[in-house]
Amino acid sequence: MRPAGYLLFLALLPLVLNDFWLTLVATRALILGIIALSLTFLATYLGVVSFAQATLAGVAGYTIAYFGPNTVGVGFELPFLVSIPLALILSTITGGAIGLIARQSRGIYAIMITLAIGVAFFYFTRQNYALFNGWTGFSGIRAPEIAGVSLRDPAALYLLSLGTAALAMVLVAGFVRSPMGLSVQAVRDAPGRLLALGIPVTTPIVTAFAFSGFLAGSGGILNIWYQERISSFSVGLGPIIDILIVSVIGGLRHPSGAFVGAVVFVLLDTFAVDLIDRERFNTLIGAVLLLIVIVAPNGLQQLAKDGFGRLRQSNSNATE
Amino acid sequence: MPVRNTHNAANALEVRGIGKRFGGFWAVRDIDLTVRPGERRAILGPNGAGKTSLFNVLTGDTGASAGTIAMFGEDITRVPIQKRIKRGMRRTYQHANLFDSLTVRETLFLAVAGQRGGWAQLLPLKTSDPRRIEAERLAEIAGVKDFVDREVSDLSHGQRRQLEVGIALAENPKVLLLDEPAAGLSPAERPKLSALLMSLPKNVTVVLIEHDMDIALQTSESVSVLHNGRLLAEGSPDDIMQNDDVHKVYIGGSHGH
Amino acid sequence: MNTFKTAVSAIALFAVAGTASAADIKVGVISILEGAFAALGQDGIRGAELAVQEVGGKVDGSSIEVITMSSDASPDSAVNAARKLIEQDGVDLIVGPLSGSEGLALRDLSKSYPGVTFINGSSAAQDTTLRDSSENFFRFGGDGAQWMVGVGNYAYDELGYKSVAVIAEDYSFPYTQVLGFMAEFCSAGGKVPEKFWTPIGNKDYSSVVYSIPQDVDAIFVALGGADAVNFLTQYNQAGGDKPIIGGSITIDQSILDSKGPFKELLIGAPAGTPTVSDYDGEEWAAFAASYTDAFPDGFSAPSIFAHHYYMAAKAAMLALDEVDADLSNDQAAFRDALTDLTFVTPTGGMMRLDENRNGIVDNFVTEVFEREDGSLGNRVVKVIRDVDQLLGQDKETFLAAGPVSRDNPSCP
Repeated sequence: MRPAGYLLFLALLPLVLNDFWLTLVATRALILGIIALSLTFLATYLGVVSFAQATLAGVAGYTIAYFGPNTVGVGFELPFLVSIPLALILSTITGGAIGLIARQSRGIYAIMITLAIGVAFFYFTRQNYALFNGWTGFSGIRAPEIAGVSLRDPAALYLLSLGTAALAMVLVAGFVRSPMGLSVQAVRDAPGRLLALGIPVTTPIVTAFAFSGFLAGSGGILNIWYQERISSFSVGLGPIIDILIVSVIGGLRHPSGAFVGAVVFVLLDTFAVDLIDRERFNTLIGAVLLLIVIVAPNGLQQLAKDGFGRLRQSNSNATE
Repeated sequence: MPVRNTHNAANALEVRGIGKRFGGFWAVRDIDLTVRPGERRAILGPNGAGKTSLFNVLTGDTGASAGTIAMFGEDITRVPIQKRIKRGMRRTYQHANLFDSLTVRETLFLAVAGQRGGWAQLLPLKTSDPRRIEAERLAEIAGVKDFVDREVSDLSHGQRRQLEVGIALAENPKVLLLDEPAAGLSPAERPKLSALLMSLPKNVTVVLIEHDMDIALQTSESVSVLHNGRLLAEGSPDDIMQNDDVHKVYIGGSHGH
Repeated sequence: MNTFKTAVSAIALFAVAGTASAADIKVGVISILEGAFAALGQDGIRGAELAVQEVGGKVDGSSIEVITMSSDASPDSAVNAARKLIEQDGVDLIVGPLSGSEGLALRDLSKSYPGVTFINGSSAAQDTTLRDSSENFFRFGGDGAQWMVGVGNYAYDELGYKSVAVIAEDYSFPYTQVLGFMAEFCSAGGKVPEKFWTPIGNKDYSSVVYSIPQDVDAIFVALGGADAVNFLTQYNQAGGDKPIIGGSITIDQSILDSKGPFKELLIGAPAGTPTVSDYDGEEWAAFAASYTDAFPDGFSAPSIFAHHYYMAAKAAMLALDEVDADLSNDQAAFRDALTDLTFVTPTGGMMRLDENRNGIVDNFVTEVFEREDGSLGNRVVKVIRDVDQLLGQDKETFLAAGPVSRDNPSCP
């Protein structure tokens, strides 16, 4: 019942938070968390760090932009009931394709290949006008309306993001206990041994990447409704690094670290300018990140877990 | 070397003139072995005798430089590991590279699913899934049922060896190749493993590579002794214990206490 | 589920750290304060601050606070900066942004914040105001096409060019610049047989250099900064000798001061611009003096960015004064005042807005000349007053031509 309790508490936040906190902090953190979850999932269960997650989110975002209302006159409008599944399908397929390309790579080589894919996609969107509208990208994108309420409304978008985040966590938990999820973890632990059991390693790798594409895509859709725009900058090095930072802050050992990392990152990104003069706030963000990596090499999530564990232990010792 | 395709289907394994060369050095050479179905055969030898090279050629991990191998009359000399597995050959690993973060049950499930299919299923597994039930049956045979939900990384060395045997037993193995299953076990764990090996289903042919004479002699019906890459002696455990050549090779050997 | 616990406590922890400020009216200024553009972006901030300083930081007893925020030339960063200024700092007005795509992004964002008034800084994309204009987005300045007015006629009539090739960066601002040039040049009878669009930050222009037709009279180069230097250097090295026509950000003083044999190509080159730093007009001299007074650390004279941010902030101060700093009723009175505002600009013209809230402005045609000491400078050859966004054309026909793009306009 505890997760349900937390969820209920979080679902009630719109009653107490103003629009700034709800949208620019909470919703943004949830969306960033969902996209980062696609990376922590891969890192935790497949043991691969991918730099192409911003690309996967971008594929879904661009799909919504191209097939939805926008003010740049590129693409054509489809009903959201068509464009949303299409966006998810495309990001899932792209994820699978990236997995296929990177299937033989581990460690630094996987990072290099996925980074190359991410940067190539960035330059492609910047120079292609027919599909991506180049440098300027798409703007004036509107989220769908349900019963007269726009999903971009602060409370609506927050609840939608919260629901998506919770669902994503449930899906990840289910996936890793499914036979395919077991195969994915087996690939990480001992790929040669899995082959010896008669199970090919390519299929689990491609499936894991495709699933991470699905997660990143759902975050990408929410992100484009939140931003109401997308351009080559949305899939450039900046967002690629941001997602990595979020994941590292939260920790790559457990997928839920993504949300811890996202909250910390968004708070830093939002308030660093208030703590230090506006031309130098990036330095502060960098310094804090460095500190986190040094103090908590396994991420804040792990640090908190250890901390809570110790606390609980000393409490129970005291009561005994 | 000429290849004669006249293998006897009545034999589980028929090895003819097998050799493995690394550069100019023959690790094993001119090995002939005939293993009957259901037989327990130990291949014994001191370190450097060529046991592992022979084992790897039998399993298909490395190719043979000379000779042929047949399983139930079919030549498998050039058949890749995957297909040998399909035909019923199983092996254990000495340096157990298992799936550390999976549980015992999940590991055995993958071993079953690898043969039966269904490893690609995206939906969570039902408790009533026949492959899951089969995994539990294997756990029972291998003696790992008591900690079936423990993560492999938490297992002791001996428990991992037992799990190895459990994995190898998945889906009707015909020929089981065991690579020094007792290596690194504590004295307390050894009898447990011996018992497990002796309780293996009778229809399974077992070839055991072993450095430890006690376990080899205790669990086998017949023993082949390797020395310097060649077959030195072959016979029942009693024959081997009486064999002078074997005694010379195993100076200070552990038998006979 | 520790995630949620940690997240919630972090939020609670930070919730007490809200910011409060005593100023009556808050003006958010967005400019590029990071990366290669930081020095120029900072000059935009100076322009806005100068206008606030001129009224003593107070309008009718209401204090004015300027809050700056940085973007990085990307539309996404401009939107994030604006959101933060509005949602967290609670600004009433936004002045900015600096570059074209950022302007389009803020125009779209302004529709989501009807309670905030956006006054464009120096961004000059055409559609920011021409198409899909926003009720609360104002531009007291021109677009990239207005900034080229006069050059097409000058090139055809005075310099006698009949055929010109175009090389420009592949995004909205250069499109608009090319339109401003071609609108005059083509209707005067000139031809543009070939246009080359290159990515921003391109290093290798060899394929363009060798594709320029031999029978053109001149090349219109609408590249900025390092791109312009790279192209001109490579063109010169390849033996190119066609005269150059410059865009508004092509031939700035830094290019003229840089070393390189390509400078020979530039002597006599005309260009269009809304700002000439050493213009000798009376109002400009006063503006420049007040600028150097206020910012001894600034440039020797106001840049195009200081000039435009100044006009934006000045318009805000004037309109605030007119409504006694009353921003009630979703700033309705204030916006009416902005819409009807007229004031004399630093270039001496009369600033006013058209029906799309876009400025009717002054524009200069300049040319590069060699000073006695051998250094190069820009001098004004023509001032054109009252340049509107339709470039003097009929609105129906102008809009019917469609949005600018790589292929529009065209007169091969």
